[in-house]
Amino acid sequence: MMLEVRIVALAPIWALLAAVAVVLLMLVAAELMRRSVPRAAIRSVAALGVAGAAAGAIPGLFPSAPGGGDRGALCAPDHGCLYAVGPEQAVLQLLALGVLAVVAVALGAAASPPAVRHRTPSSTGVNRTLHEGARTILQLFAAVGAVTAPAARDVLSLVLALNLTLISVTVILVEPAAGHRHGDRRARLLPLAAVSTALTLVGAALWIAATGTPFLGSPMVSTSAQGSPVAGATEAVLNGSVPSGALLVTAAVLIIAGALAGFVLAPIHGWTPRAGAAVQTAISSPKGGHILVLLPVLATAGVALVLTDALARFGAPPLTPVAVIALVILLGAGVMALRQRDLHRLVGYSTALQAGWVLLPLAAVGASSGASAVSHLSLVIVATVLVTIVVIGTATATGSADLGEHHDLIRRQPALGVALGVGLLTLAGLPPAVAGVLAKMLVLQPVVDAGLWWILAAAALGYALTAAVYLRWLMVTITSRPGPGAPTPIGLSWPQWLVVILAAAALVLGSVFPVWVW
Amino acid sequence: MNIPEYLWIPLAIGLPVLTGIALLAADLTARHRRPDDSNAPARRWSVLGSALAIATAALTLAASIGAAITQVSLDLSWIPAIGVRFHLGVDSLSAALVVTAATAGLVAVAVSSAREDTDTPSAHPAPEPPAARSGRGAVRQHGWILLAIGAGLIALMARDAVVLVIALQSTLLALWALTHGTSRADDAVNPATRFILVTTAGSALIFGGVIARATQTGTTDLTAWATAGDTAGTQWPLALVLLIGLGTMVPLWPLHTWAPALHSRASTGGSVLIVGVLATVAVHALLRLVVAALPHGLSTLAPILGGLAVVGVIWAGLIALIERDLARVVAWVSIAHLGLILLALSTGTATGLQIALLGTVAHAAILTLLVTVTGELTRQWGSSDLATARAALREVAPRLGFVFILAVAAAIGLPGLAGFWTEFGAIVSSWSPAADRAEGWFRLFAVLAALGAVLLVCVGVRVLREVWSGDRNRPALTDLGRRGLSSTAVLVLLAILVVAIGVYPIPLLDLTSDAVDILLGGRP
Repeated sequence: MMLEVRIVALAPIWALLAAVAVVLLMLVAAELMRRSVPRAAIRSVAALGVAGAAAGAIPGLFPSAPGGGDRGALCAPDHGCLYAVGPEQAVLQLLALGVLAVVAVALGAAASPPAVRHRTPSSTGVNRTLHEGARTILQLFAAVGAVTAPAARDVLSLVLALNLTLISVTVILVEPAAGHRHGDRRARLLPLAAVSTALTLVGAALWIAATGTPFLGSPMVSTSAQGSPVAGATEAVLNGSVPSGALLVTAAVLIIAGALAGFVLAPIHGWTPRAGAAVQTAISSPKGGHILVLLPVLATAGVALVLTDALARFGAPPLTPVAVIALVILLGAGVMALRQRDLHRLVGYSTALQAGWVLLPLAAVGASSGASAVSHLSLVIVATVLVTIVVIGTATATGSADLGEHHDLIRRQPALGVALGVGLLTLAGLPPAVAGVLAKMLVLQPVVDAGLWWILAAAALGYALTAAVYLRWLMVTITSRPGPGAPTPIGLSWPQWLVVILAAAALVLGSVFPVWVW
Repeated sequence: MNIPEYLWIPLAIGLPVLTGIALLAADLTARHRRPDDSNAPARRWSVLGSALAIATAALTLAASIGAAITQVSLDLSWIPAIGVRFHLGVDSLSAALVVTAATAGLVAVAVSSAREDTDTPSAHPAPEPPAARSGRGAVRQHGWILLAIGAGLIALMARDAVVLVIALQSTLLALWALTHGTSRADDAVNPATRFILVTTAGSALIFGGVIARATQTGTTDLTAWATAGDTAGTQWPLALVLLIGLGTMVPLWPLHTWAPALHSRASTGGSVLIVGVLATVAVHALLRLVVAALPHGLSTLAPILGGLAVVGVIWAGLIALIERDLARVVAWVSIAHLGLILLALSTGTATGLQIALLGTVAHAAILTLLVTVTGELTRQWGSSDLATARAALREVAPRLGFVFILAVAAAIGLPGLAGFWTEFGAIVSSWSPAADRAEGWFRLFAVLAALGAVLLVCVGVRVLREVWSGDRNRPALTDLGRRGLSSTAVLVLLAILVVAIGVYPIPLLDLTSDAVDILLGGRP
């Protein structure tokens, strides 16, 4: 089998990998020469890698642009490409890179390496370099996974990319911070990651067993690939001429469920308090866990997008179990979020809740599933980044992450309060954040198209619950603080302000001119 | 001055929305903390805000009347990717409703300001004055009222389904923001929270129905929906989803649970908006999205809708007989009227639809009057509890008492007043429904509706006996004419409207006969 590589199309991945290699070389040099490397140098290399990857991903947004052409790579004549990027995939890739950039820029100070106690100053410097470098490499790896997942067109690469992200982020979160007593509890994240890996691998194996091939076929070559071994096998399975259609659906469900098990489902592990506490501690870690956790969310969405896209092209029925999981996540996380007073946990549950919304259209396996899920996800990512930065700023400035710290925020600090309000209304899907309303409407479109009225009914409850979660928060920001004592003002660093302003501007523009709907 | 026609719609929606935003922004940035009498600048600012709000609401009403007379439209491209246009217009279906909502909006602003003008400590201070009634919230309250009016007018003028649902949801949110601060410590659930939860779930169902219809027809244009030919089989699930969704907002029994609690807590302005703007907007949305766009689907579901509506009338009548809180009684009366309107609407006849439209206008006028009068009484009494012994209205405040009698008489459907046409028309149209409706069921509904009308009379008699008649003359009340000019003017204006619609409904019926052609789309 001859593979045509097409190295330009793979630019987002090799740019990140090149950055990993350079950072690795720096670390080796530092260790050999026992000298520290300036933090700025490592960050610059990472930033260059991310910028290069973003530049490489942008052409994917314009499938018909000159020079863009067919954004496929590693293509074999009979099987289609192993890597293919359309506008939806490119959006997911750019979002992942944007998330990484926010973690690096806005949380630079918060994400600084822990002060490790060592005997000599020089060894402290080297160790700092090693810590910084290791974390940077892990972050870059997480991004590699999140960038690869939506573009992968064979089930093995898909699962590998997903696990690369899951495990990298898990390791970053588990790494104990100095003086942080929850290190041991966060270590319990590792078994969760293992469960994820196991489920996804079993799913991949079932997929191969059902279709006889790991290839999924790429959307761009689906017409020319009719009659190819991939299309033939998958069609045969779904037509019922090969009796493993149920196996195929099970495989897809296992992979998606496995992807969710690591992070998104975690906050509703209320009945397994240990695991739940571990994840909650991890995502409320001061290292920007909430924002980092968006990378696995993006990778998961990418995986679900690829799988449902493959299933939809061959006319598979809706993935009812995935819809049920999505509703359980949505309603469960919503109920839990309503009870939270801790802002970190509130954001954690909010992310899980929104992941439920993103999964709903994908579970319906329709022609518009991918587009509506990606539209919704893009807004959720931008709004969550905004809200999280405000929460991190609150926790840093006041030393407390209690919801009460936001009392009367809209009056005390109107700019910040209004920005937070825009983020919350977008997440809630309520006007005047028209972008959020349209996103919630688009999410329901594939569900309605598939005639899944019972899901629509449950989603209506979910919408009310979602509104309640964010309106409760919003209500705090517009009501006065009960009891005496002046609240502490919330201060943000200038990069954090920059991110907040950019995100709020994007959401407002998206509401006035909803051109992002495609 | 000659104002070009095309400016009416931008003025009617732009004025309240922009002034509302400006007032809210000003309230946000104002540094005042205690705008009591010792804080003169804040007090002055509050009065200035009230004046600005009243002027805006009055101009909005004028622009709405202009738009209703000229029946203009405004059509801008908005989301080309999915073919959604920012298309607003006034036709004979929405003309009367637009003016009704704008009038109710003006009343809501005026009664909120009237409270501010005379909010001096009286001999009967309210035991638990809700936060929104304090001076500090006045500017904010006006801001939210204006936003609710603007969003409501957009919803009434919308010719595009997506614009309509977004405007509808915006109206709900503005009402929530207006009322959420008025709950009391002993409320198990904040009534405003219950309201927004129930109606937001309804919104999601409306989203689903709108999307499904847009997928079926390939457009979100409401005019195209009305002319799309398809069968009952594809229409009834959508009609069901939309009816449930809109039923939470009208409200239709048994989705009405938020209404009595919210009325008992909301400020007078908030209550006026609920009966005058929200109900009007919701009935209009029902006419556009279901009656006009899904006639076959509605035909299938009509017996269920009619049945629920008539159960609502009787249910509301029975509970209002034993309710102890005057504000809740008013809420039940509103639910009963809306039940009659929905019954008329479900009959599918030209008469029924005309009565539904006329009834919506009448409901807004009567209930706005009733809410304003009871709001005034509640303010003077300090609570709306009917069990407390009070002075008889006819003894201590005869003019206010007269307006109260007029409002109650209109509410119970006395001939010559606006409410009569709703009751009489609903029963008549239900007795002879359209050919594709189940006649037996609708005749039963007509009988039950007549029973409901009798119950309403009993409610009216009970309320008059407890509030108006008697010979106690303590504690004293301030009569009409001795208070602020605006509240007297508002009550007189509403009383004239209620009598005018009752005595001479012909212009409204003429207007609505054109509207019925739109709704029936040329069908018999």
